[in-house]
Amino acid sequence: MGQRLAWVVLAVLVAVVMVVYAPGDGAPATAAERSQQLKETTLCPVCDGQNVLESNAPVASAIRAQIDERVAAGDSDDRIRALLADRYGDDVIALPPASGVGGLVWVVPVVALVVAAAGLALTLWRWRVDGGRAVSDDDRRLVEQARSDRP
Amino acid sequence: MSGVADREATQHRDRPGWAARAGVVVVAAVGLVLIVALVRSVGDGGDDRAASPLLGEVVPALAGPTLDGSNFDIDDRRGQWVVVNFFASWCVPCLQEHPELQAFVDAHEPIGDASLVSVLLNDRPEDAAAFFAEHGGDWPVLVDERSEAVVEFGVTAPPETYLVSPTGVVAAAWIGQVTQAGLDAVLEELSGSGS
Repeated sequence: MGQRLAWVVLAVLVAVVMVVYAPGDGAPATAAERSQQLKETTLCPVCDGQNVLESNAPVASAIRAQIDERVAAGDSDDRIRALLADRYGDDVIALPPASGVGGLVWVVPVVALVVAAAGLALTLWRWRVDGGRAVSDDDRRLVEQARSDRP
Repeated sequence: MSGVADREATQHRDRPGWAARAGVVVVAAVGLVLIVALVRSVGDGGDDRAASPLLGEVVPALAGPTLDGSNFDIDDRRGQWVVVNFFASWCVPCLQEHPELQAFVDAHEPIGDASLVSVLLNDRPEDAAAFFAEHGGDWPVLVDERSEAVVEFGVTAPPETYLVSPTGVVAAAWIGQVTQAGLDAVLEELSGSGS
């Protein structure tokens, strides 16, 4: 009964953690949030690893203004990113592609999580099975002998 | 006899080995390459033509208010070459380039075969107006308040210059300063090729 309760508690904990830390669908709710996210995920073309939100370079300022403008005009994120990639190169887009080899970035963590969870569950199950084994007479004799041999 | 042998052995030890000599040659070669690269980067005064995804493409929309309050639209310039120059009043190379642009306009305005438009990059209109008041130049200066032209042309830093053909196709691009001679040379080359 105690073990069953422990399993239930573990399952509830995992569920709570997954709900709290779930990334969601990634879609910002407002235009301002979309702009913010686009700026955070667009690298300044003349800077060293800075995104356009952080950079003070003139071109970063220009790209920020255009992101705001195009978001307000109703352009999709994909369309805005496509324009920036076309004009400044794919390297300014700080998001891995959803398909191809780059898509592994999205898949591998999920697969690793599933494998780790399965491994943990298997290990716990084995411990439970081993823990339920009865003590044999031979075991008792061995323990008695070891105690009597102690000085 | 022993003294002679010792002297020869000493001379042999003092003579630099092949590895040392090779090292000197490599260092000298690398130094030469760096010097040449440095001289080429600063010594030619500009006219470095650049690759651009726009080359061979129809010029992006380039229209809007100018510093003098009128409106500019590059589509109104079809039939003549248009030099599109992205600049800022705070940009030192732009200041150095300015007389070359003025000379280009002076040479082509009477003929009417080519014109120039400047586009502000991250600059305040009042600062740009003061720049032109001080240094001359009466060609249109597009304000580009929302940086649409800057992004559409993929400009990274001023000055950058694009040459648009009479049919509205981007024919050449330069990153950094241009000169009148450099612009004219490309104009002549492309005019001859029927662009």
